[in-house]
Amino acid sequence: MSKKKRIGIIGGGISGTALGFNLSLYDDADVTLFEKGRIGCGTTAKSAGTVCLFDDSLNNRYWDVRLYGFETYLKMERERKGSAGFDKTGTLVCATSEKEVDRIKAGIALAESAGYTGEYITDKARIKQILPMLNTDTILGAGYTADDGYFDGTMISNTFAQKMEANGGTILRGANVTEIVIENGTAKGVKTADGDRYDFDVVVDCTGPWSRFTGEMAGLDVPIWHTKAEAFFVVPPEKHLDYVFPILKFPAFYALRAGNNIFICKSHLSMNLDDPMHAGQWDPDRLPEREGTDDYFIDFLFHQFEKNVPGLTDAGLNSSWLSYRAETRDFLPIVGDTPVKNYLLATGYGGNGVIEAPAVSRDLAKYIMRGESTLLLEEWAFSRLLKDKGE
Amino acid sequence: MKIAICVKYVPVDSKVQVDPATHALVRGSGAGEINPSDRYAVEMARRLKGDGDTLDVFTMGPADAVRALKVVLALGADHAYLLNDKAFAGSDTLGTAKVLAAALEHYGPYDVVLMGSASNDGATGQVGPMTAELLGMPDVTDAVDLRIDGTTASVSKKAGDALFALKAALPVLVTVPFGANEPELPTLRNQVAANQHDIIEVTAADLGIDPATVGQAGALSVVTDTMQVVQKKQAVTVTGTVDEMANKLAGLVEGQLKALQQGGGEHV
Repeated sequence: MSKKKRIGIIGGGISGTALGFNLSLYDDADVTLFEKGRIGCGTTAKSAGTVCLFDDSLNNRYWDVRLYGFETYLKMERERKGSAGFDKTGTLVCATSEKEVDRIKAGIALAESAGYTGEYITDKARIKQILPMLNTDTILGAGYTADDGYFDGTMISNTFAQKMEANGGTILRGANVTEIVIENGTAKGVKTADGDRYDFDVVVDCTGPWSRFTGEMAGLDVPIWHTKAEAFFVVPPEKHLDYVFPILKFPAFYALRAGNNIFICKSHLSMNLDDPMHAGQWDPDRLPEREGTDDYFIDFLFHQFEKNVPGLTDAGLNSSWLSYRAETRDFLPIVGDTPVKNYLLATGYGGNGVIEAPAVSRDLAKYIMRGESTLLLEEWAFSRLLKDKGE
Repeated sequence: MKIAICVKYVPVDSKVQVDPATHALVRGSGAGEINPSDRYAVEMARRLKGDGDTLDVFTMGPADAVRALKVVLALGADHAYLLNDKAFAGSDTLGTAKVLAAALEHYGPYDVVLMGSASNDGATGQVGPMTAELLGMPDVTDAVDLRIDGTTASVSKKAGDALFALKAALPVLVTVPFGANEPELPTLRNQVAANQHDIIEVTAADLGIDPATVGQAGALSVVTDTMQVVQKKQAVTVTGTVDEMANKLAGLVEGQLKALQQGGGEHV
């Protein structure tokens, strides 16, 4: 009998659990996942979880990534209702430029080709029927589908974790990795805070915003920045809306319902990595459970709403939270090999972890187990960032 | 009528630092929010405020505590005072009351002073009554309703399941418990405006306070130690068919009852 390949995954958020599950599908994989806290309870828990069929969060070039993520979660929901926390609200994507009109229309065509509904609407009265509190004077039109919505990153992570364990994978909860064992430039395993050593053939860092610190343990400079994800939960003046508030997407912000509240946040693609108010290097362990937000973001969102969604300017500010996204310079993740042999990354998902993790994990698991790369892995490889640095 | 509200900026979670020497919370070491029961006192103040009345808000704390002041400004306060001085750090409840009383005297006199009944970090419930004593005004704790008629305050005070109807002469200090009313939320519009509002910073010298009488130096009570509460509760997942789960639950409950009768038992 051939020896199983031993893979150690650091991090039990959406990235680590999705990869753990995909690896556990291989009979010759021996997978162990280390999570220092609880599954899906780090920055994954503060993800909005939107998986929209045609918003701007991910270029249409990566349509298959978006579709695979969406359908993975729909399958989860079919297997066990609630296991992905799906709230089918639909999405309204507002176009403020001709370029966005083209992108939205292309996205709708892709969605329709996969059997979903979508329409580009220019009739302002019809748009206001979908979201009465919108100011339609500022938009050219809007793409709308009733088929998508948002998911719950924590639920998904725990479902992946359960499936991984059912397939024979091991999850060590409360296990804090404090050392990456490197011998002759090759990752050989990890050590945890309680002094135990675990030997692996491959170690994969799935720690998201912690990756720069985790990478340092392997002597690696992981080129990610933290961008602030400052979310505010507001109560509309009507208190209880008599219509389904769809995911609302503008280039600079998005909104979605959260119970009777509306969740509002500056979009991750509108963040500037060179603006110290937007981005920096911080310690995710110091993130508070809630609050910790800056006036800058509430001011920004108010001015966006004053112009585009006046119905929310007099919403009551109920609560807020601060989280960090792990972003690269090109706002795409880092997946696969690194300069440290057998130390791989699946990090830097930014605001798209829930969307991208299933497809990335499917491909990365195949690469780890069979050595077969894919176009996606090549485009999102660590090496592209070294080239950007002229290395 | 001049109304004052005193609020506290408290840590939002358990990730706070404790000074190993003084055993006091290191203020400003993490994110914070307005103390929960203060929200209800603010709402009571908001409802009390009529045309021509003024509402001033005070907090003693680090620079970050302006966030609590901004929330109250967004809810209708006219002036906000941050009582911030190194000399105030480490104050016990009496020291805090001395600072608040000095500020209320300096910027007053006020007809009605409101506070939350207790903070969710210190939770002594002492600061309100102590402040009233120092100001020489009557106080009513745990008030769930307050009405003013001329120079008389009519107060409903909660005590267990009972409500006491009390009257007090103005000026009066009233503390308000968690859950006393349904607090309004600040609107986005008002919060953005409040974020631009002037905050008046006040030091010990501004109030004529001798630094030796407040803060760590003036503290008459000393925290001798702090310790983490050991969580004994354990979650148990019960699986199986409905009948199997019902049987397992019955067994768990019976086991707990037996253990409790014997003076022990795990918290499940």
